[in-house]
Amino acid sequence: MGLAPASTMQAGNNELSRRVAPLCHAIRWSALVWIIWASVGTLSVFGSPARVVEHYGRVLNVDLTSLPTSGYAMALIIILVDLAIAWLIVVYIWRLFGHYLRGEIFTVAAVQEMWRGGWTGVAAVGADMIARPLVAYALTQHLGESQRHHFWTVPNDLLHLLLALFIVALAHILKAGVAIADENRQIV
Amino acid sequence: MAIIVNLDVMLAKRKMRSKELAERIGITEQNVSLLKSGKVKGVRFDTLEKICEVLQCQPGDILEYRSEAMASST
Repeated sequence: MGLAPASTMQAGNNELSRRVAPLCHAIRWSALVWIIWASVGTLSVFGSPARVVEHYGRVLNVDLTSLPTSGYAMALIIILVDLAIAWLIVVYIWRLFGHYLRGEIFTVAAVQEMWRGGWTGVAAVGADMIARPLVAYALTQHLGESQRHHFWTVPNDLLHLLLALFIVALAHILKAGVAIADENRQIV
Repeated sequence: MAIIVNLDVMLAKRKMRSKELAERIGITEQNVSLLKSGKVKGVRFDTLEKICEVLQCQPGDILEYRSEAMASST
């Protein structure tokens, strides 16, 4: 319903949008810089098997000079899937803060974007946790049992998971906020 | 709904147009129109106060409670 308080609310949203605009721009561009940086970094390593051998040999502390092409290809596919999910998060961040910049703060579209971003974040952390041991396994499967790496995770995974779940919870809370704002729009 | 908005009646009694009321109370004409038709979820006290001040009336002249049974019998 297009009631006048909607315009009052829109004015309020525009004011809020104006105040958070520098933050929104900073978050959007930081996310973009991060993903480009991460992609370039990852692809520069995975661009050639020799680099993978050198880099992961150092990280895993094993000699990977006899790395088979299948191991390299499997690791590359895993890394690309992981990277694709990370790109998806950036898309959602870009779109979410785009809504905020346009003053569409308490809207269903913004909440949906946040919800999707949160769950994609959860998926990305999960993918990361799975990808790391898988990459390690793919790169060391040709080695003897004593040199194989099956599991490799870090405590920060839990922190990232927590932050992603925090975003999902926030999206649910904001969904209730959108319903309140919608009801408020129907009061003259 | 059981709450009836009699704003159109009061406007007619005061020989005032919706546009003028909207301008004097500071809300859009579209909102006045929606209020007249009862297609709103609520009225703010300050809006009601301004309407009463401009139309020189009481809130009861604008809003009326009519039970569903009464409404269906009339």
